[in-house]
Order: sequence, then structure tokens, then C-alpha cells
Amino acid sequence: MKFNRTINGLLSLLLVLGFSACKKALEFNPTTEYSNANFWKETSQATAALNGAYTLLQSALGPEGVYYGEARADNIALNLISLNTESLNLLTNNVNSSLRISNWNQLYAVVNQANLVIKNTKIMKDNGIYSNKLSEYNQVTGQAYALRALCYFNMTRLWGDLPLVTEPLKDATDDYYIPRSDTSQVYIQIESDLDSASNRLVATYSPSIYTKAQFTLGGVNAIYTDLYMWRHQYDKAIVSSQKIITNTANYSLTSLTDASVLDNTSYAKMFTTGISSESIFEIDYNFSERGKRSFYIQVYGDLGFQPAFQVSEQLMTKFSPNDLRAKIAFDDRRAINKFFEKTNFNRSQMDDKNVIIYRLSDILLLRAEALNKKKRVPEAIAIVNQMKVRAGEVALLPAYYNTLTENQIENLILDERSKELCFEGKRWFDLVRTGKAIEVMQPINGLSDPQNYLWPIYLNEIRLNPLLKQNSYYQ
Amino acid sequence: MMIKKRLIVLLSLILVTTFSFNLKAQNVSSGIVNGKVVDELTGELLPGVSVSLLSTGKGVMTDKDGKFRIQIEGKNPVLVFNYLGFKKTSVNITGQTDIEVKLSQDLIKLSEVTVVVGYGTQKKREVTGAIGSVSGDQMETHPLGDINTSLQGKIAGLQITSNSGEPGAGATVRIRGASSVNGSSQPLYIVDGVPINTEIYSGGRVNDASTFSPLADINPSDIESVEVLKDGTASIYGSRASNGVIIITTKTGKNLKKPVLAFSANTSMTELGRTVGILNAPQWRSAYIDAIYNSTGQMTTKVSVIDSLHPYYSKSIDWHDIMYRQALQYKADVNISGGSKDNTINYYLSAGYKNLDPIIRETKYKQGTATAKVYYTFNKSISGSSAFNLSTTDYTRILSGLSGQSVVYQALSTMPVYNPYDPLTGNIIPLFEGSKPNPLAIAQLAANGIKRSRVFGNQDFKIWLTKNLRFTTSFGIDYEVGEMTNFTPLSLLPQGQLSRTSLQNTNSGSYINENLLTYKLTLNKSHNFNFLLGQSYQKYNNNAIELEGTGLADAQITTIGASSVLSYYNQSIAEHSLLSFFTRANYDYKGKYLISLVMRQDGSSRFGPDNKYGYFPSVSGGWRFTEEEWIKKLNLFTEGKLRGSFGVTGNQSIGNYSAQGGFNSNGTYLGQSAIILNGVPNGSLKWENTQQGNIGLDVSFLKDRVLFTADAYHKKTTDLLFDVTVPESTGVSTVPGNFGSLQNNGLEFTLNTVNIVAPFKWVSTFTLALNKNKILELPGNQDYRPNIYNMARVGQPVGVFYGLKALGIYSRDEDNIFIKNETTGEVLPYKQGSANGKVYKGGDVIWEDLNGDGIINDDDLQIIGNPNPDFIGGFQNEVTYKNFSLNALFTYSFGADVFNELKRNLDSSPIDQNFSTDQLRRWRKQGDITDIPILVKTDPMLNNAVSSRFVEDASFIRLQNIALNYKLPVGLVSRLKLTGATIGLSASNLFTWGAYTGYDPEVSSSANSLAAGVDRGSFPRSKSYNFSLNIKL
Repeated sequence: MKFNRTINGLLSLLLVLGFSACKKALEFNPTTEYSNANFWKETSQATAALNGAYTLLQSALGPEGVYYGEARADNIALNLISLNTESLNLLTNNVNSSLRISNWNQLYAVVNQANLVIKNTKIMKDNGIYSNKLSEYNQVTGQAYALRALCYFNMTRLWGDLPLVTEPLKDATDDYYIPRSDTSQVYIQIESDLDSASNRLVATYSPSIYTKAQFTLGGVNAIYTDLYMWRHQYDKAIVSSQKIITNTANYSLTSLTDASVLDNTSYAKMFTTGISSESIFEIDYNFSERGKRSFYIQVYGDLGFQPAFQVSEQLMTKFSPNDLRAKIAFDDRRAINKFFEKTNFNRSQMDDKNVIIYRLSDILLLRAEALNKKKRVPEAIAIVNQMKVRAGEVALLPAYYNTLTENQIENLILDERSKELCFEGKRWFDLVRTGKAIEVMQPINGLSDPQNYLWPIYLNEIRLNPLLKQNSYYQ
Repeated sequence: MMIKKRLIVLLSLILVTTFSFNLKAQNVSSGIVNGKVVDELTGELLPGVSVSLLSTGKGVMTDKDGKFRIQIEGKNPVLVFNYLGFKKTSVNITGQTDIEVKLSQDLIKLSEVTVVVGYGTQKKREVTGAIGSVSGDQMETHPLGDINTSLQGKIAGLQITSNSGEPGAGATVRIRGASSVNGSSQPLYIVDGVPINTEIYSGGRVNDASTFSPLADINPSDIESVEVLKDGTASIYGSRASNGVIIITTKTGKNLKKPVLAFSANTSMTELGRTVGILNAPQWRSAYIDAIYNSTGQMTTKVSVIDSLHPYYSKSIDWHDIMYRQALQYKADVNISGGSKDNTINYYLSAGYKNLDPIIRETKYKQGTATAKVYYTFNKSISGSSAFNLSTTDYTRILSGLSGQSVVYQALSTMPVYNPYDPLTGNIIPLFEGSKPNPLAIAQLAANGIKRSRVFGNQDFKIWLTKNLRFTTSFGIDYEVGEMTNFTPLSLLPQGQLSRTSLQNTNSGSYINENLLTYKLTLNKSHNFNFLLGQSYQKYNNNAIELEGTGLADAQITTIGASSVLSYYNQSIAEHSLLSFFTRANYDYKGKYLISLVMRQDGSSRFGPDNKYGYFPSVSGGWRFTEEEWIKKLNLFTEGKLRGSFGVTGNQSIGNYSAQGGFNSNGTYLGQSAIILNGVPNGSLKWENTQQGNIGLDVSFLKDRVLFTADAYHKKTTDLLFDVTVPESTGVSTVPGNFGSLQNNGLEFTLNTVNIVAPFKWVSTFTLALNKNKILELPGNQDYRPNIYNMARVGQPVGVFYGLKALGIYSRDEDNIFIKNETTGEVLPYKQGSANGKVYKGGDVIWEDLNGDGIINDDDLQIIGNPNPDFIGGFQNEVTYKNFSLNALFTYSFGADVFNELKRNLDSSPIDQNFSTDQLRRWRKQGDITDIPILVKTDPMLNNAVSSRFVEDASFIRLQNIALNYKLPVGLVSRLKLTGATIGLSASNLFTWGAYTGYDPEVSSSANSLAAGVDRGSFPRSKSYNFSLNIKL
């Protein structure tokens, strides 16, 4: 009996312990990741979250940016040795909603991360976590706004009307079916984000790599310029580009003659090693950081690597024989090696080329376009000549360009952009912006309908969101 | 050492006993009775029957002719005859000296069979729930299989679909249809009272279709019985029981007065079961030339295609022959069991070793298992038991699936003109043109391995506080370590890619403590009560370290340390726990009216504070109508019972921290730490709930020669718990939540019959299960598509295939007529994708234009198939004649469809590869009438879109297993100093009758029922021919 009593005692104890332990026994917080409860508590976490947005941008544009900006245009041609569904369908203008490249998921992942940073840093600031650290706050949120603007700008150029998401999904039960907003709404959002960014950002960071590979005021002005040009607001574009040009301390043209070997010139190294004096914003990839690569080798490079593309004949004929840029951009076998060391390139460890989003030449030539539209032809041609002379060509003389119409000069500037910025993901947008896409592409791939400029919305996305309507051409 | 010493003692004991029996038998004196023992039914002489004198207990055994001599003494001497499988018979032999005794076979009264019902056992006749049960004997007919394959076809309503033919392969296990739609909706498995880890795992950080089941850690030879709780009474296991509960009981030494040593050895020749039709070299050349010409309008310049005399490309290689082999597999098991005379201690110890070389070259699978199980009684009120299982596995494997490094896929897709060896040097060629890896080189040079070790078991103590009140406390553990390694050498990768290696180390365990009080009470000899009160706490933790490195110097050292850059590294620790209280009350009135009530409360750490606890009640009742006098008078039934139950069960399989959401590292940017969103929180996440009603009938006739069980159920699952795919504009791809509801209705029948008794004995079991499932509700009642093949739609079965419907192939360009203006003759043709789309031409597929707009696009998608079978089951037969027995198990499944993604991949030709033999029928020129479209590289007209063209009927009947065993005659056996020996021949997976053109109609690429039935090229099933030897000492 005594024994039984002991057991009974033990039992009751067990039950009591059991119940009291209840609460603790069922609470586990993650130990190897953050939960909402312990994130957004320190400013370093917000900075890390901003870096997270940059890593998502790395995935979104390396090398997808090439497909978006080049695959439907005339600077590249199919590399017949390597036929892949994506490249073949884009080049032949058989753009359809089954193509994985028509999925905007990676760009929206950046938007969502930026939304999280913007929203939570605000709360952190309100809670005093950023007291005495206002400049850090401005830097983090300013960049988040700039990233969001960049993504929306890229997306609206591709898909037109967009679901405008400016708040992160707080809880899984929030409404996630968001309809598309008209492009005018999207533009308002982009401008407002750019305004927020430019109010917060500074011109330089230290060390200099941060100035080039993170958003600065210069980067924001570059998006402004691009946006205004896209919207044909030339006066505004002239103003915003001016802000970049005057910042000579940070932005200057590279040279094609500052080394005896072309491959070692600062111009060549702009693409191979990156972070050049000309760069305004580029996405940094570094193999030593967990093997991060931009995978340019999948689309460009030595034909032995079976890249998707090679240089088109149309582009090759645009270069004059003296143009040094041609030698940088491609080789005799039509392989595009602009982004790769011409010798000793080891694909396995050197395929981490930075993706240049904006550089000074791009902004200068956009400005030239605007100046031409504003009938400031000599100023426009001066910029073109700046490019030509650097490349070893002769400058255009007034006797020649005075005879040209506005449209002819625009074509001349576009050709210069082709030569200068080829393969950098610009050409398709140049053609659409200036309304010359059909004129240029119809003979090549039969593009005939302006509705076809926009890309289709990815099939799966339409299936998942009943509020989305497919772009008219693809209905 | 201890075990060894004990073994020797035991062995000597057996020998001594045997000898002493022999001695006694020869000890002749006066008062002797001679006799023989025969089988009442067959008249067969029975050797080895124990014959003993009741008064003294002294005895002898019958010889090989069934004869015995025994000395008798005393008045009214009674002889007791005891023989396994026969009724114990006593004969008064007063005055007789020469007798013939007939023993009648002891058909075990089925109602007396005990079944495990969760936290206790019940006599089968007392059971009020729907429980299926399989004995270990029934599983032994499949010696080299694992538990999953051994259970197939044996329990009505239990659907087991192996994911592949690999050893240790994962399987999708469904009880009564798909009641959950999340990834891991497996039943709960309980081994000897401990819930064990059964979460299917994959083989590391690689693109691979293979999955593996932790159930392979259990040696089927150690299994005594398997019970499946199918209905609402499973609520005693509450939150994890909505997909049913499978209770596995391992063998014991119970009631064994003397030790038994059993040894079994199996050897098996294994080969590929079925092949998939692919083209040979001339056929392929013609197809490839067409594909290029139709795409570019030009003749291909590929040397391998146009130069059939080229030394490298002159042969036609059958890659099935190269990559598959006949493999020799073997398995050996030894176990010792026994107990003390007074039954205070009994034990079962076993060790097993398996060497299952899979049928793909360069693979190896080895497994060792060991078990120790001991029961001991300290005194009248305290007893205890310990049961522990060990398993260690080492698997050198290849990758499957549709990736470039998948040997299974590359064996099919590698062009038949390629020679695995350089014809000039004889060396293996790792990469063919276009950087296509040689599958043989992949198998030889890549290194993929799984090593795991596991221990699980429990320790319990039972204390009788009073005669009828028992307290049980137990501690259980399930701990495993696993190491997954994957290495791809530079030589198998396209120029300039990096060799890579990865290591995944997991370390996971669960610990459970349970405390039970059981109380028995009988009032007035007719009211029987049984109470259970219990508490349980189980904590799980999982610690995984994943490393991936690239740029190894060579292929010599392939471990992670040899990489030049760590491209990925992560450690993740996950914990969760369950705290439960439960109670059950059983009542019966004279064993005639039965009622059982269950209530369980489960708390899970996975849910938010407001939803932590779930309540899972059930009520069930039974009426043994054969106990009613008026039914007894009919003299129709041996035993009969009507059952009914209703119960609520739950499901909590969702991420450990899903309710909380989270952020994790995404590497670095500019050398600084980068963190991204990892999961959107769901504060209102709660239990998935399944309500199930069941009515059943168990009835047996003709002295248990016919036993029939029927069940009908209705099961409704609400608040389906899963990670739902959301629009990408949210920036995430899935969010966790409770979405929608579905139901399963079904019927199950099991018929056990003794068809012929003598001289042949033929026993059979037939199972049949029909299930219909239907989605009742979805968020916003909108269609939900988790992938491009399957969909969920209200009113439809789970995971139906969705795509375009093919009506044929345009024979000529001019056959494409959407609208024809009869007066002008002007034709408006069908267009692809949009009004601006391309016009279908001769050779393109004629798609059904569902909305009649002349445009074939998303609006024309329709339901094109259903991966859920209409009915499934098995037919098991055992025929015995004298010492021979023949077992044959057929399994079948009817009405399900498979989506043949493997074929779609081959024929849609995204990269240069071989095609399926369908291409022999391809459209080639205007006027051709066929069912296979024109072959165009990159398929611009999307003729190979997801469509009815790739939906195939997956119905099949399989001769899963056939075994012929011969029991060596007792005379021979006893001369060999054995107590029993059996040799056997068997064949597994010998025939599969079905129309499916892939490797096997049993396809399960995903455990997720929303994504079921898509054949993505898993490791094909093999067939095997086995020889087995079983010896008992």
C-alpha cells in the first residue's frame, strides 16, 4: 500500500508538472533563422534586409536582363549551335505566355523585399531605433525606394499595366489577388519613389565600390532620365541628366587608349572587372561570395561555351573599321565577348561579371536624344562625337549633320547607342521608346503590331490570379 | 559477448532437449501404448506431434511416419496430443495398446484474434472501429521487399504507391483516398507504441526525382503484425490521425517455452521490369533530320546525324542494355526468441543484413538491422519491457528524374548513335557533342551517396496499482543521423562549368514520454468497462547542415573540403512538440453490445497561441448480433457484428514555424550579410480537421471458412492545411494556410475464404476498395493550380489533370477550317495562342476549341484525366499440398490516369536527344493520317503542350508476388537436428498487365495529392526471381 501511495504521489506530481509545463512545452522559436518577433529590431537587420533586396536583384537580372533588353532586338542573332526554347522564340518574335522569361516573379521578389524594408524601417524609426542614426535610415530607405522604382520601371516597360504592390504581405490571410493598375498610375508610383529616394540619398559612399554597386543619388537621376525619355518628357530628361554630368568627381568616361593592350584599357575593364569611373549603377557579382555568378556565359561568350546568342550582321555593319569598340564587343567568329577577358578567361571562376544597369555613356546618349528633340542639334552631336572620338572614329562635322532631319539624327544617335551599349540590355527599349521597333524588326522577325511590344503575362500568373487580364495581343 | 554466451547456452539447451526427448522415446518398458497420429481431414500421417501423459507430463514425439510408443502408468491414463496448427486433443486410452488418433486442424477462431487498437489491444470481436490487419506471415512471402511493398494489396482501402523501384524508395501511402493535400500527408506510423519518423526524404542538394522512406529502416522479418486504423476511432491518436494510423508490432518471444533460432537466407536475381520504347539509330536519324528541317528549313549539319559511317557514330546503341543489369541481391536474417518457463521473461533478438544491388549499373545498397526486445516481470504488480531497433544503410546511387545528370533520363534520351566508349582508344567518353553527358559516365564518375543510421525503441514499465488499475509509463526515442553526398565531376559538365560537391548532414530525433492509466471493471458479470486515461508529450528536433562547394581540383577527392569555394552553407535547426491528453471508455454488455468513446486534446507548437489546441473526439458502437438467441437459432453465422463509428481526427503537417513567418540569410552582397523574407506568417493557422463516419459489418459463416468484412465511409476534411501557391506579384510563391475542404466516400470489402480444405488447401483473401473524392470548397471557389499538370476545382476529384484536348492531327494544311464562307470559299483557320497567333498546318495537333472562338489558348483548357483510381485491391492466394505451399498475390488498380511527362520530355525535344517510339508514327507529309504530330525542334506550335495526348490509362493488374515453398519432411529435418526447414522459389513483379507505355503504371512523383500521377522518370521497377531458405533450430 505504501508503495501504491508513492506511485500515486508521483503520478499527481507528474500531472501537475505536465500542466504547468504546458505553455513552455509548446513554444519554440526558430533558432537558425529570424522570426517576425526578433527581426526589425536592430538597424543592422534592416541593412541586411536591404542587401537581401540586392541579392534578389542579382537573381532577377543575371542574365535575364539580357533577354529582356536584347533578345527581341537586332543587335544579336541566334547562335545556331545552341537552340533553346527561350532564345529561339524571342528572336523569332514568337513571344508567348509559356516562356519562363515572361514570369515577373523575380522582379516582384525585389519589390516585396523593398516594401518590407520601407515599411519596417518606418516603424523602427517611429520606435526610436534609428535615433541618432538618421543618415543610416535615409540611406537604407532611399535605396529601397530606388530599387522599387527600378523594378517597376523595368516591369512596366515589359508588361505595361502592373499590379501595384507597395505594402508587403503582412499575413497569409491578406488579400493577394491584386488587379493591374494603369501605366499612368505606375509612372506616378515610380516618380514618387524616385522623389523619396532622391530626398534621402547622397552622391557617394565609401568605399567606392558601394558608390557604384548600390543606389546613390546619381543612380536615381539615371532612372529619372531613363523614365523621362521613355515618357518623352525631354526637358525633364535634360535636367536630370545634367545632374549626373556635372558630378564629374564621380562620373567620367573611360578610355580606349589608356593601355597598350586593348584588353587592359579602362573601357575594356569597365565590363570585365566592373566598378569603372563611368559606372552609375551596376549589380555586383562576386564568385568568392558563395560562388555568385551573373551567368553571362549562358548568353554570350566564346561559341565553344554554347551561348544562346552571337552578334548580328546588322550590328556588325554599323561599326566602321576603325571603331575599337567592335574589337571589344565581339570576335571574328561573331562571338560576343564584350564582358569577358579576351585571354585567360576561366569560365568556371570568372563568370561573375557585373551587370551594368546605368553608365555615363548611356545617360549622355539619352541626353543627346532629348537635345535633338529640343532642336539643340549641335549639343546632341557633340555627345555623339564624344563617343565616336573615344572609339577612334572621326567626329561628325556640322556640314554633314546640318543636312540631316530630326529623325535622321535620332537614327544616328540610336546607331551610336547600338555600338556603344550593344548587348547591355538597352536596344529593345531604345526601339520601343523611339517607336522604331516595327521599322527595324519587321524585316528580321516580322514584328508588325505595336500591341506586340508588350510581353505576355506568364500563363501561371494569370491562372493564379483571376483579376489579371492578359495583354491584348496575347489574348 | 553476453549475447554470444547466451546464444551458446541457448543452443546447448536446444540440443540437450532434443536428445533427451529421443532418449525417452526409446525407453521401452511395460504398459506401453503404440499408436499413430493422422490429420482428420486429409488422413495424412503427422510427424513431430507431441504426445504426453496427462498425469505425469512425460511425453514423446511421433516419428516421421506419425507413429509413437509411450509408456503409461496410473488409472484412466489420458494422452494429450499437441501439434502446432491442430487442436489440442486428449484421449482416454484405458485398456488400449494400439490406437489411431485423428487430430483436427485448428482453424483459429477469427473472433479470438487480438488486434492492436492504439494504447492497447482488443479481441477482434470487440472492435468497433474499422481496422485492417495483416500478420507477419502474410508479409514474409515478399522476402526482399520493404514494408510498403509487403503491405500492398492486403488491406482494403490502403493504397500504397511506390515512388520508384529503388531499394528504400519512398511511397505515397493513402488510407481511404486523399484526405489532405499537403506534401506529407502520410499516415501516422506507430512501432511498438512509439510514433516514428516516416517523413520521406530526398537525396541531397541535387535535382533528382528519388525519394526515400524511413520505413526502410524496419526489417519486415521482425514484424509480427500490422494494423491499420482507418476510421474516426483513430482519434485516439488525434492530431496526426487524419490520414489513418498504421500500427506495427514486432515479434516477441511470448509463450515460447523453449528458445527458437530461426535463420533465413534469400538470394535474388533482379532485372528491369519493363522498358520504354525509344528509337534505334536509323529511326532516330530520320526523326532528327525531320525535326531540324521542319524547324529551320535546312538539312542538319550535325556530323553524328549525317555521317552514319563515322567511326564514333556508326553503331546503334541500346542504352537500356548499357545502363541496366541483372543484379544479384541477397538478404540474411537470424533471430532467436524464447522465454522462461513461467513466462516472466521473454525475448526476441534479431539481426539482418541486406545487399540489394539495384538494376542500374554502378549502384550499391547495403543495410544492416538489429532488434532486441525483452519483457520482464519483476513481481506480481510490476513488469516492464524494452524494445530497440537499429538500422544502418549505405547506398551508392544515381540520380533519377528529368535532369541532365539523371541516369534514368539520360539512358532514354541519349542519342542511340553515341557510343559510350571511344571506338579508337576504348576509353569512356564523358561528354558527347553539345555537352550531353554519357549516362554510363555519370554512373561511373558522379558520386551520390546516402548513409544513415537509426535507433528507435522504447522502454516501458507497467505497474498494477490494484488488480484492475494499471499505470504504464514509457519513454520512446527515434534518433537518426544521415549523410547525403553528391558530387558532379568537371568531366560531366559543359565546358567551363564547375565541378561541385555537396554534403547534407542531418541529425534528427524525437523523444516521447507517455503515461497511461487503464482500469477494468466488470459489474454483475455482464457490464464490462475499460477505461484509459493518458498523457503524452513528444518533442522533435532536426538539425541539418548543408554545404555546397564548387571548383574541386579533380575527381579524386570529392568531399566538401576539396572545393575551392563554398557556394552554399547553411545550418537549420527545427523543433516542434505535441502535448496531448486523451481518454477512452469502452463498455460492453455481455459482449453483445459494444460502445467506445474517445476524446483527445492535442497541443502543437506549430500553431499560433489562439489555435494551439485541437480536440478530437470519437464515438463508436457495435452489435454482435450472433450473440442474440434468435440469430443463434438460425445457425447461419459463426460470428457476426455490425459496427458504426464517428470521429474527428486532425492534421498538423505544415512547417514548424509557418505561423510565425521568418527571414533567413541569402548570402552576402558586397561582402555584407544579406537577409530575405523566408515565409509570410499566418497567425490564424490552425488544425486541419477530418470528420469521418463509418458503418461496417463483420460476418463469418461455415465455421469461419468464410469471413466477410464490409465498410462504408464518408469522410470530410475541412480547413485543409497547406502551402498554397499565390500570385508572384506578392513577391513570394507560397503562403501557409487553411484552405478549402474535400470529401471522400467509399466502400471496402474483404473476403477471406478457405476454398478447399483437403487434400489441397486453398485459402484466399480478396480485397476491394472503392473511393470517390471530391473537392467541396476552395478559397473563393476558384480553381487552384499548383503546377502545369494538375488542378483543384470544386466538385472535381483532387488533382485532376488539366490541359488541351487533342482531337487528332491535321492531315493537310487545308484541313484547318474554323469558319468557311460557303459563298466566297474564304477560310478562317484556327490560330495558336491569340488572334495574332500562328495558323495550324498539316501535322499540327487539332485541339478542341472549347469556347469556339477559333483561338486555341488557355480558355480551351479542360479536365483531361484523373489520377485517382476508381477501385483498388488485391487477391492473395495460398495453396498448400502436403509439404508444398504456393502463394500468389495479385494487386490491381483501375480507373486512374497517368500523365506521361517522361514521354512529353522526350518528344518535345528541347535539346538534342532520342525520342519515343511514338515518333515512328509521326506526321511527315501532307495527307498523312496519324495520331502523332509533326516533329519540329523547339516545338513552336506547342504540339507537345500539356494535353490529353500524354494522359494514359494507368489501370493494371500485377502479379506482385508468386512463391513456391517446400517444407522439408520432418524426418529429414530432425536428422539434421533442426525443428523446421523450408526452401522456396519466388518471383516478384513478374507480370503487370496494363496499357501504360511508361516504365510502370504505378507512378507517384509527389506525395502531394494535388500533384499526383505525373510520371517524371523515377527509378524503374524491377522484377526479381528469388531463392529462399528458412531454417528453425
